Amino acid sequence: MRRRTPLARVLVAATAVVALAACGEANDESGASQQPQGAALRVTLGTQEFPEARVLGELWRQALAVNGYAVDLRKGVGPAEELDQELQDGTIDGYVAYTGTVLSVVAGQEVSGLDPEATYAAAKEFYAGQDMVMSEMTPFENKDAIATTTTFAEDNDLTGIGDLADVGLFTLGARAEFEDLTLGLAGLRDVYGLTDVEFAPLDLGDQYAALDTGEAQAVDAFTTDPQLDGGDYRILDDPERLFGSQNVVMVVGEDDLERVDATAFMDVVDAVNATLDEETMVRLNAEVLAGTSDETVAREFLRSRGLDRPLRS
Amino acid sequence: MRKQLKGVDPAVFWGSAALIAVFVVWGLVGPASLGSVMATSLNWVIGNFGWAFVLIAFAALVFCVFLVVSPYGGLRLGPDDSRPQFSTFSWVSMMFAAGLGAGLLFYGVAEPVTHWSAPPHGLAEPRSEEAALVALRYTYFHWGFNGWAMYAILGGAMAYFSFRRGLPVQVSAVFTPVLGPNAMQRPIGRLIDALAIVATLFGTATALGLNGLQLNSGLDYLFDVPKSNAVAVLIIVVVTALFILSATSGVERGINFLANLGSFATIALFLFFLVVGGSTVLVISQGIESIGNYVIQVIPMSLQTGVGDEKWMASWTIFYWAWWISWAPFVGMFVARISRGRTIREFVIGVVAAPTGFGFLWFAVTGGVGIELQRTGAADIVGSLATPELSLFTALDALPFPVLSSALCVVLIALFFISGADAAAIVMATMASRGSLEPSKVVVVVLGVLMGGIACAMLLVGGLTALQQAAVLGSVPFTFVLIGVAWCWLKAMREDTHAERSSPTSGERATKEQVEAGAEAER
Repeated sequence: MRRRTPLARVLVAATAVVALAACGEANDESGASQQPQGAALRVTLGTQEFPEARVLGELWRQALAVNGYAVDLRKGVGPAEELDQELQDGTIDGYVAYTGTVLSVVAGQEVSGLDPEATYAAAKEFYAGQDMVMSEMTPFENKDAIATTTTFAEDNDLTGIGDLADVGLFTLGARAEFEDLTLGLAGLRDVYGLTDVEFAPLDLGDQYAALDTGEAQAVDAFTTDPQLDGGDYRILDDPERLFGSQNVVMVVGEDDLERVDATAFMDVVDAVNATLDEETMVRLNAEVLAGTSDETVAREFLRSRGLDRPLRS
Repeated sequence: MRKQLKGVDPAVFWGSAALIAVFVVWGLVGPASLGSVMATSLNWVIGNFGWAFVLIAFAALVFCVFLVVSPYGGLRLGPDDSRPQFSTFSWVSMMFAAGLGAGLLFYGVAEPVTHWSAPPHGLAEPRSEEAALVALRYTYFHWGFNGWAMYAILGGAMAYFSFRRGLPVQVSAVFTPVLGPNAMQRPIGRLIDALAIVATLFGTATALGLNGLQLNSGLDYLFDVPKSNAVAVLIIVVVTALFILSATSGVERGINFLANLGSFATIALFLFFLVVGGSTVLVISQGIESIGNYVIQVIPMSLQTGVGDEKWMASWTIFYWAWWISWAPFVGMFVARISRGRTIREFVIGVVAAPTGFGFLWFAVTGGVGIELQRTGAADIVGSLATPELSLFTALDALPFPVLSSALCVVLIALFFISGADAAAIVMATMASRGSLEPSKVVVVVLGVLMGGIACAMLLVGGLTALQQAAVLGSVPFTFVLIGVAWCWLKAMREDTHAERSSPTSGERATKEQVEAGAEAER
C-alpha cells in the first residue's frame, strides 16, 4: 500500500501536468464516438440558394442516399467564395460548383475564351493543389448569355452577339452589377464592340418580362433559364467565349473522399452528372419554377433514369 | 504491500502493463502514426475478414438458441442448490448499464435517422415510410441478439467454470478441458488473460475519454460550458473519483445502486419520448411492426454479407460485430460475476433477450420520434449527425421542456458513465488477480486511476480514436478465443450431464476435484 499510493499519485500528477500544458486547446475528437458508427459514410454537402443549385444538391443527396451515404445537404450557402471557405474550414465536405466560377471567383484566373474542357482542366488543377478533388462535369452548362426575342433576332438577322453592334442603339437589361463586369457589359464592349448600348438594371428574373414588354431589346440570361423552354426567345452565340464555360462538378476534399471510398462515391456522382444535358436541366428548373419542390423534382428524375436503385459495381 | 497485491498474477499483470505501456507511449509520442497504423490495419481486417465476423455473429446466435432448447439449459451456473444473488430487475439493470447504457442515449436518435436517410443495401426509398421500418430494424440488428449472444457465450462459460467447477473467474479457466487443469498457468492461458485486460482497458479508457468529450458537448449545449480539453479532463477526473468511490464500495452496493437508478431514469426518459414526442400512435405502430420484422428476419439478416455493398457493411455491421467482440471479455466477465445461481437457460435468455428487449423499445421510441421530427422539419437531426452525441439534444430541443429533459440526459449519461467505468475497474482487477471475485481494493484503485490517466493523456494528444481502433483490433484474437470457449463449454457440459446420468454422485465428486485443483492454482 505504502509503495503503491505514491505511484498512483505520480500518475495523477503527471496527468494534471499534461492537462495544464494543454489547457485551452479545443478538443478535436468531438466527432469520434464511444460506439461504432458508420461515420465513414457520412458527408456534408453545401449548395447555393437558387433553384438549379438546390436541385443539383438534391439529385446528389438522393442518389448517394440510395447507395448508403447519409448526406447532410446544406442549402442556401453561398456565394461561391463562401462555399469554398466552408470547404476549406471543413464545415462542409463538398459543394455544387460551376467550373467557370471556380476559376474566376475562387482561383482568380482568366476564364474568357476557354472551352468546357479547358475550364474543367484548369479548375481541377487549381483544386488539386489544395487537396480537393473534382467529379466529372455535367454535359450542360449554365452561363451568362445574351438573349433577344425571336422576332427581334430575325428582323435584325442576329446569330451571334457581335451582330448586335450593327443594330444601332438598343437597350440591354441585366442585374445592376452587370454593367461594370468584365464578364458583363464592359466585356461585351471590349470583345464585341457593343458601344451603342443603353443599360437598364433589372431584378434577377425580370429579364423575360422586359423583353416581352419591349423595355429591353436584349437581356442577360442564363443558359438553363426555364423561360427559354416555353417562350419565343433566342440565345445569341458567344463565339469568343467571353462568358467562359460553366459546367457543374462536385468539389470534395481529398481526405473526405478517401474516408467514404473514393471510387464508389464518385461513381454515383458521375452517374448523376452524366444524365444532365441542357434540355434536362432546363426542364428540371422549369418544374421547380412551376412550384414543385426541388426534392420531388430530383426524386422523380432519378426514378425515370433508374438512379433510384443502388449502383452495383 | 505484499498483502494487498498477493492475489495478483505477476506475469499477467506486468505483461499486460507492458503491452499497454507500449501502446500508450506510442500514442503519446506519435498519435498520428498510431492512428494511421491502426486505421489501416482495422480497414484491412474488416475488408478481408468481414465474412468471418458475419459467420461468428451468426454462429453465436445459433449456439445460444441451442443452449436454450437443449437439456444443458437446465444446468445451473453454480451448485445445483444455488440461487441467484441479485433480483432479476437489478441483474438486467446492471447488464444494461455495463453493456449498453450511454450508447443507447447517444445513438438512440442518431442511428435510426441515419439509416432512414440512407437505407442499408438499398432496401427502401430513402426517407420513406418503409425506410423508417428498415432503419429501426437495422438499428435493432446492430444492437441486438447477435452481439449479446457473444457476451452470453463468454460470460456463461466463465460463470459455468467458476461457479460450477470452482475455477477462478478468468477467460483462461474456460480452457481447462483442452489445456488441462492448470490452463491458467500455461503461457497461452496467461496470454489470453493479458489480452483480455488490454482489450478491456483500451476499450474502457477510450470510452471514458470520449464520454468526457460527449458530456462536455452536452454541458456546452445546456449551460454554455466551453468545449475545451481542460473541461473534458476535469470531467474525467471527477468521474474517475466517483467511480473509484463506487467501485471500492463493492459490486453489490455501488454498481447495483447506480444501475438501478440509471434504469429508472431511462424508463422515465423513454416515457417522456413516448408521451410528449407528439407522434405516440405512429411510434407505437412502427415499433410493433419493426420489432416484429426484426425478430422474424434476424437469421437471414445475420447471414447477409452484403456483396456489392462492402463499404456499407464495413462501416456498419462488420464494425459493430468487431466492436461487440472486443467488449466481450469485459461485459462477459461482468455478466458472469453477477449471474451465479441462474440456470443456463435463464442466463442465456436473460442476457440475450432482456437488455436487448428494452433496447428495442428504446430505439423504437427515440428513433421513431427522431425520424418524425426530421420528416416534419421540426428538428434538423440529419444536420447534427456529424456530432452524434448532440443528436439526442437536438431532438429534445424540439420537444416540450427541453432544459429539463436535456439535464436529465446529462445526469443519466454521467450515471452510465460511472457505473460502466466502475464495472470495468472491478473486472480488470479480477482478471489481474487470478480471477478472484473480491480483488484487492488497491488493485481496483490503481487500475481505475490508470484508466482515467490513459483517457486524459490520449485525449490531450488526440490519440483516443487510435486507441479505440487498437481495442477493436483486439477482436481478432478474441474471435478465436470465442470459438474455443464455445467448444470447451460444450465439452464440459456434455461431461457434466453424462456424469450425472451414469451416477448421481460422480458429478458432485468431479466438482469437488475441480474445486481442489482451483484452490491449488490459487496458492
